[in-house]
Amino acid sequence: MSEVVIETRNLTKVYRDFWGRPKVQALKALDLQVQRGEIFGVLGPNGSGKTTTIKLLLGLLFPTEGEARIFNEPTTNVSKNERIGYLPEETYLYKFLNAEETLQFYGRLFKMSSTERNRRVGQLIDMVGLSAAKHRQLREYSKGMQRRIGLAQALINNPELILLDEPTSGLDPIGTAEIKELIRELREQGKTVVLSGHLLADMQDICDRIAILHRGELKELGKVSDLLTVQDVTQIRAKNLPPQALEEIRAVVARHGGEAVVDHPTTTLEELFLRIVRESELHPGRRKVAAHLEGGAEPAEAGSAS
Amino acid sequence: MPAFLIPPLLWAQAATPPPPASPAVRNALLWLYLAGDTSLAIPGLIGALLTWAKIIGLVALVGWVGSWVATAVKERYVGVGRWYDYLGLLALVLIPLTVFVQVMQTEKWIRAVSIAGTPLASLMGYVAVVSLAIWALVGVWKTIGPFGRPADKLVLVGLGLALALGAGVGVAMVQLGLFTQIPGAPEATWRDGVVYGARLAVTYMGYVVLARILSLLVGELFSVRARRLYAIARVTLYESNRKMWAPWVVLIVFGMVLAFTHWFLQPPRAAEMGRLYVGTLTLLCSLLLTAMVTILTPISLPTDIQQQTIYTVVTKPVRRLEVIWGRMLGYMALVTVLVALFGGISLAYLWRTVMGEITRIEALAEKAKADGREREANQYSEQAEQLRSRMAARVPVKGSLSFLDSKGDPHAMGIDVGQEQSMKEPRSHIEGATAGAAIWRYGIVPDPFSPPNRPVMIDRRIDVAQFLPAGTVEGEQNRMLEVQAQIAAAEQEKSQQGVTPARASQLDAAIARQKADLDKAKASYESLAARADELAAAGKEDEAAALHAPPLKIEMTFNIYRTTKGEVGKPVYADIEISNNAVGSKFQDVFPVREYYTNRLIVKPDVLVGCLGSLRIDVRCMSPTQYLGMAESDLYLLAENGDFGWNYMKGLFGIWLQAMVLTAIGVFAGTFLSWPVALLTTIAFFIAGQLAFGFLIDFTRQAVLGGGPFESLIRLVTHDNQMSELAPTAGVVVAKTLDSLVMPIMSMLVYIVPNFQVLDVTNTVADGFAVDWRHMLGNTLLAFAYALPFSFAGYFILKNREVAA
Ligand SMILES: Nc1ncnc2c1ncn2[C@@H]1O[C@H](COP(=O)(O)OP(=O)(O)OP(=O)(O)O)[C@@H](O)[C@H]1O
Ligand SMILES: [Mg+2]
Repeated sequence: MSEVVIETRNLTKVYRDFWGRPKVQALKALDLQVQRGEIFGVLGPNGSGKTTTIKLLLGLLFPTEGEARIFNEPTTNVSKNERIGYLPEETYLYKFLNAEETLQFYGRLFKMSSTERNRRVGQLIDMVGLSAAKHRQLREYSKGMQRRIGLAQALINNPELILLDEPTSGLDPIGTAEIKELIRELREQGKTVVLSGHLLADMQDICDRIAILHRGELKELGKVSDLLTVQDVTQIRAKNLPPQALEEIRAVVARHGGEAVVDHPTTTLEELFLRIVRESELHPGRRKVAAHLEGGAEPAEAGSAS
Repeated sequence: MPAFLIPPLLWAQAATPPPPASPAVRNALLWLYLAGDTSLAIPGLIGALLTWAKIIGLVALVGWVGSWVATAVKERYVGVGRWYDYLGLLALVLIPLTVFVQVMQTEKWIRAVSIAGTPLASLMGYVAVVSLAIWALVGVWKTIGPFGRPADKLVLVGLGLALALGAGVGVAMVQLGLFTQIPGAPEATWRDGVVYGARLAVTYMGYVVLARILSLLVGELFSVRARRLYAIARVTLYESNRKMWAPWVVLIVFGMVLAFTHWFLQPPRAAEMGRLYVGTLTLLCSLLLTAMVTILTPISLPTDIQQQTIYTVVTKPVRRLEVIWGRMLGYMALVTVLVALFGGISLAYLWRTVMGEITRIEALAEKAKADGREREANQYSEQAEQLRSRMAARVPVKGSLSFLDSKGDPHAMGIDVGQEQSMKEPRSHIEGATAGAAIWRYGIVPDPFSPPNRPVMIDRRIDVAQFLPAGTVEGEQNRMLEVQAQIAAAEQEKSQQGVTPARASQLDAAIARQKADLDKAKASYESLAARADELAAAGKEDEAAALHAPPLKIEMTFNIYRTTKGEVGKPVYADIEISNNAVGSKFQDVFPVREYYTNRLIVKPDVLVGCLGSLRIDVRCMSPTQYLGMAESDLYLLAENGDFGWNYMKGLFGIWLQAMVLTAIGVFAGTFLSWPVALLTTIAFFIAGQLAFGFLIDFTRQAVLGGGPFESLIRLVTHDNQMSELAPTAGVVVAKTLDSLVMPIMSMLVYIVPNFQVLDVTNTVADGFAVDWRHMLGNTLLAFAYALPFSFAGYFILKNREVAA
């Protein structure tokens, strides 16, 4: 049975200045549901409200309107954090600690025995490939190394829900691949992962569902496989068709006012993304998210006429 | 009735005879009055707690209303030009206007006007207060709707009830004639009752908000876990250690200053070397530790928030209170280590310098004695003795000082010769060769400052057993006399009329028991005395002395005010008389007073025997036209000479407490301010509490010479002195108005700014007196009374702010 892990209703955030005057409307009336076991991607161009959404989910920011619930608890409840791991957009950790001390510190904040903590610290340092540097203070770390230790800190409590804000930023291709692999492993363990980013190829590979934000508005939401299926394109497959038959088909299609497309049954996420951004810039406002694409993880039957 | 329930002076003088009211009602009203009037403080621990609760409650009330109103303004629920906003504006204009009218009336610019029996200024004040209250109420009401919990609405109801209760108590006090009545003033009406009741109500409202806050805190307090506090404290320690190198910097500065101390420390008198060194070292410790804490604590949280490291912390199951307490713990661990190190180093240093000096002088004395230079030897050994007396932890037993003037009439104070004084304990003088005397009384004695017809008794009894230990001749003799006194008292009670048979038999049993005791004490006294005499006769003086109680030491530090009529260079003599009036024994001596020296008198312990805790010591000045100056603590019985090292560490503990309060303030400031501002705030708190606290107290007493800041400014410009009354020009009236607006706010600060001075006991240590445990406990409680509310305030701020905004 699928279970809602994250739910937002009409979640809105307006950044204000000291006097309470609105500065930026960073998020507009977001309605979302993330189910247990999903890998959920939040996409959007820079400044579209991805980080804001994640911060709201964690209670680092308070919503201007609407509400968010995690594990069916209000986001300001501290106890929910027992089951959450979070990797911020930029890994700012205590620079005067070394990797081991860092993980020990975060580990102590959870209820776990010292043997368990030591085990996990060792294991995570190995996993993120920092064994050689574990006694060096973080101020000496490169950006990618900091990212790795940040990721380790997010996993210290073996969380059920992991929120990763641009997990691959600053990582080399090997690191990126490792992270993708890790996320897949997490899915196999039944964890829920929410990640944001704009590296679309990566997102396309690993996400079950994605939401696309633009200027704080939800533009698209659904299963990756569905979103990337081109609705208004019919694909006809045939074997051993001679060229003249193809010509005839083209003629028939043309007579019906259509246009024959010979190839490209699916698009890429990149194209979808660019199209949405372009459209959104032409027609600002809420884009109608196709009804059959909403509603979470239940397998969508409808698809292309293939 | 316990002493603190005795009604205040004016209460007892209520003009009208009180209509009959049941004692229960009266008591309840009394308690409500005590709990409501902020200007009322009752002595003792309960009184202190009550005062604390009142102040915290008021601060909480202001904070609670303030935070809702601030949200209301930010959310544009108020301040958008609706009817209630005009009320708020009205209040804003009316308040200064009211004060202005008031000042103009007192300056006789305008006649005092009354409308329907109420003075105009009061009426304006009421309108202003009510409009402001309505505006704030609307703000709170509108914001609690969308943002508050049901409990917050309940608080609003509670505030209403508190208001009703206050008004009710005020009116009831008037009706029952319990109202504070100024003799000669017109009789209080129910309207006065309501107005006074509104003041009480504000305090009650404070309690309501306090209850709400406590309910919010309880859950948080129970969720605090040691392992998370430890984790955060540890990171805090690492931070101050690795990022700021704080302990190293502080230690190096300490060492460097210490290396040069003896160069620039020249004691004005040889005997004060110890005092000067101890004072300097503790000052150095205090400066370094407070400076370190002031710089470290307010920076930590703001940088955490600014650099976003806090994101990864607060998204773990960390309570916000743990973020604050963990930090405080970390800093206090650091301070503890440093205090221990400073203590060790400075004690070693003192040992080398002062103790070295003492042994050097003692060696000189020995040598002089060996060479037969008696006078020199005496001088040296006295000098060493003086130095030694300060390098100890003396436990003084102080009496209550009062005076006889030159004609022999009693007074609380002696003659003020106009010398510069320490404000804490001013010295007053007695004239030589007159009836003038300074009298220290021990026992249950009247407070010399209380009115003679209704004296307030204070307990200054001597714990005789401390001076005359059991198992000594005098100890057993004293016990004998004490038991005799008990028997006499019991017999007296029995012989009184109206003693119930039950009580009589009880007394009989007691008397029988005491008589047995008496026999025992008598037997042991007689055998001890006989044995001591035997030993003395046999020439074994030392063994005989061991059977006696040690001699009684009395120490005195007087100063001399010399008039020109006296002969220069001739010593001034004092006469001291110790009377034990219970048994009628006396001791008398005349000695030359040495200024700035601890004059020591050694008396046979017999004088205390049978005194039952009471003693009287009269000091007179023998030299005509000379004056002898003294304060209460200038003469005392020396009960004990404790260990200096321990005492020094107790002095440092006072500094530790200061650091703790400062840490709480620093961390608190960091929860909502950027680090430069938080740093300045912490410094301001420290300066206000350490250097300007006396000034703040003067503000609350409205006792600042030359008026408030604005009036002083005018005086500065016009070169008027502080005593002259300024002519009521427009400028003066405006200045006085501004002062009347500013001064109450300034005087509020006295309740928020911690009194750092009082936590510092290093002066006592430097003077060579023991810091007693009760005093330390009191200071510890006081420090927590300051630190905890600051940490809780920080918690609420941190909880309700967006750490990522
Ligand atoms: N603290 C802040 N104060 C004011 N405005 C802010 C604040 N943080 C973010 N914003 C604004 O809110 C909007 C959304 O920002 P957000 O950081 O959520 O975007 P994002 O999708 O994470 O972008 P990126 O891909 O660059 O990380 C932006 O317009 C940004 O300028
Ligand atoms: Mg972002």
